[in-house]
Amino acid sequence: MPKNLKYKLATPILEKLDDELQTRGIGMCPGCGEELAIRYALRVMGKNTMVFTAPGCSPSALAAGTDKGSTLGIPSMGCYMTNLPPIASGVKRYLKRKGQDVNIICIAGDGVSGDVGFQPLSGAAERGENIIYMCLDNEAYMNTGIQRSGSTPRHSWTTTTPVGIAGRGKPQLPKYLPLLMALHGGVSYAATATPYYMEDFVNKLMKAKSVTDGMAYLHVLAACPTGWRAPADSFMQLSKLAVETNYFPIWESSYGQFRFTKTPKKVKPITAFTSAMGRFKHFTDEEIESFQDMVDVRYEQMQLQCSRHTGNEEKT
Amino acid sequence: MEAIKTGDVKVGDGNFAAAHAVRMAKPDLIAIYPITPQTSLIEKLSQFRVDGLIDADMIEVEGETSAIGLTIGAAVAGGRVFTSTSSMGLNFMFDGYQMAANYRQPVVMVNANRENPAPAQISAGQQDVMTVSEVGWIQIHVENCQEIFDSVLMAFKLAEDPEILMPVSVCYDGFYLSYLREAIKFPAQETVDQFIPRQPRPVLGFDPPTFLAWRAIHDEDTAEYRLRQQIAYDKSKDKMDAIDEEFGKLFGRRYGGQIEEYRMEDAEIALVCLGSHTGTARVVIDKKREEGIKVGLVKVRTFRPFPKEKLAEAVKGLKAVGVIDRSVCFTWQGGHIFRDLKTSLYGHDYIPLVNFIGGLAGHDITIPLLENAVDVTLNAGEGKPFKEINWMALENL
Ligand SMILES: Cc1ncc(C[n+]2csc(CCOP(=O)(O)OP(=O)(O)O)c2C)c(N)n1
Ligand code: SF4
Repeated sequence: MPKNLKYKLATPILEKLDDELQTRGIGMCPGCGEELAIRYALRVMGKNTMVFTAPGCSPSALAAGTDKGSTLGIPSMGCYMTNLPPIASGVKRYLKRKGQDVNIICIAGDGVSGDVGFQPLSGAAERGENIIYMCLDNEAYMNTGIQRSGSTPRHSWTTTTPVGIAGRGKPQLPKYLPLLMALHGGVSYAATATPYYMEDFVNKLMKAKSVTDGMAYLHVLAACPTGWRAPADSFMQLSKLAVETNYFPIWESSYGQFRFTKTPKKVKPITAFTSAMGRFKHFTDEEIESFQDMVDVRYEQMQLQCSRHTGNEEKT
Repeated sequence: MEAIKTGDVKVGDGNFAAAHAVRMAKPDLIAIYPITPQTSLIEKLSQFRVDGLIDADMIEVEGETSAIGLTIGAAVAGGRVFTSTSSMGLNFMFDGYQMAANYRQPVVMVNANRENPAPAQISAGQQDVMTVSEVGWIQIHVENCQEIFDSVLMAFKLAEDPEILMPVSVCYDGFYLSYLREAIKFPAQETVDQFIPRQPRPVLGFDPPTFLAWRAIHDEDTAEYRLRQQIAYDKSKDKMDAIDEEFGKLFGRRYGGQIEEYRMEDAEIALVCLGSHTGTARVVIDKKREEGIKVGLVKVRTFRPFPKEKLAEAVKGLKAVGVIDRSVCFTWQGGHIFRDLKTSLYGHDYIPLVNFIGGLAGHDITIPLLENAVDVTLNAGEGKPFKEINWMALENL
């Protein structure tokens, strides 16, 4: 019988979280989805945590702030896009050897996690390095100025997949990183989340924190008003719509047992999501259909995964 | 595996020597990815672990980026760490390689020197290590298997010195030394422990929370950080000499620290080289001495930092110097040692320098080739016109 991490209700715990650990003077855009995710991740991890970052938007909230003298309340280290998980694993391994139990969390974007830094992440996942890895997926290289990543959806506009006569956004289908990660033998716990469903997100962070025998991988949809070409106050709404249209399925996998933790009561058409952002504003009917197709295929894939363990799904 | 006792002499190759030195240094974490001609080193260490001879955390990584990454991580937390690689493995770990230097982490590695596979496939040479010599690692180059063993111990001592805190690489010629079997003398474990005690150093920790990041070092402080790094790098030269002396007292063997001079007392010309062919050069020097030619040899041990002062002193007053390079740099069609020696001698009295490139892609640097190098250098020393850069065995090109 495979092990399963217990599911606890988080509401009472939310109030008991550690103080804010983030520094003042962080350099993120107004209304950034990454920022909220990081803030709560750190509150759940607590003070007995070291945080490891890599280039991208997230270090602006993590490294030390823009203000001289302002620092994070916990130790942190800036790694490269190409070597984040091994460095964090090296720290974890040595501290464990010394008998020190410290939460080690890596926080990085989809470009780090799924593209240039994918190999070391995959290696660490296969070896079951006992670290927490949180990927903040904003579906492009935002920090360098909204370039296409492996996670950018098909037909989406970015600065390197512009719309013109000879091209209409990204031609390829994206890489579905959370499932790839969950399928690594050394990943004890994998989950997708968005800060819109804060209780679900916090529960998953707590489970990730409790893993002692492998990697915990969290894949967070981090709505990015700047890169998605949407108003600064729209990120909660966009996160919600991403789930309600099945664009971003919310699930978890505990030792290989998959289940949805949030499913929309009534699935909205994808246009409810796409029409809210400038990055999709060039869409023709055909492109909308093709985009819907991409969403359906991904969702069916996850349904298949989740149905393999009947009785696990949660009705909401 | 049968136990090795103090004073034992065992026959083994360069990788065997390195593996045993690492075992005796008792690292906390070892992360290595296999690559010819280094692979038997990782096999040895893996065997040591299952035989209970080392208790290091050993990680079978999926690539060199992770090998260097894991060692940086454990070093940042305070551990003693080791990795090794060669050739394209070194290329592939370059991100972490320069990070280890710039975060001042005492990572120790050995590199079994090799050509890059483009265009030379799997063959000996020093192109790999020379290419990465500009990023702040200390490089110790060695001549034989005992020196590999001894230099690995010295590398831990130098890297973890509180005044240095820099990564150190022991570079030995792949194939020529990695697979050359020689007698290796084993010291007592207590002597090794005494030589490389654990020393406190700044680590990533909670009290107060520390940071290792581009933003923690604010822009205006970066220049100061760089200068301190440079000063420590320079300081490692004297440290290396002092370490060699201490090593001699404890283990009964010395290598000269940064450089070693051979038959230089009354020399009028000299060869300068580093690596495995230094042994061949000694034979050639002896032979030429018998013929009445006053030639000596200067062996470079620490190629980085470059022993500028020691070398200038060693070659002072000579009529000419021949520099043997097993790698090329894309500046003057010459080799790395030649470029650096020539630069070092700027402002000193003029000495004709002749460069000899050879031994690329596993070609032997033979006795006749080195004899010819001595002859050409002798000519230059007599004031005759000479070709500055000579590709050994390719004279007609
Ligand atoms: C090896 C390497 N190549 C390129 C860069 C330049 N770079 C800095 S941030 C970044 C994009 C990061 O994208 P992502 O991980 O998606 O994070 P985001 O900025 O979207 O939060 C790139 C390409 C780098 N730092 N390292
Ligand atoms: S570009 Fe996007 S992800 Fe980056 S800080 Fe701005 S809103 Fe956040």
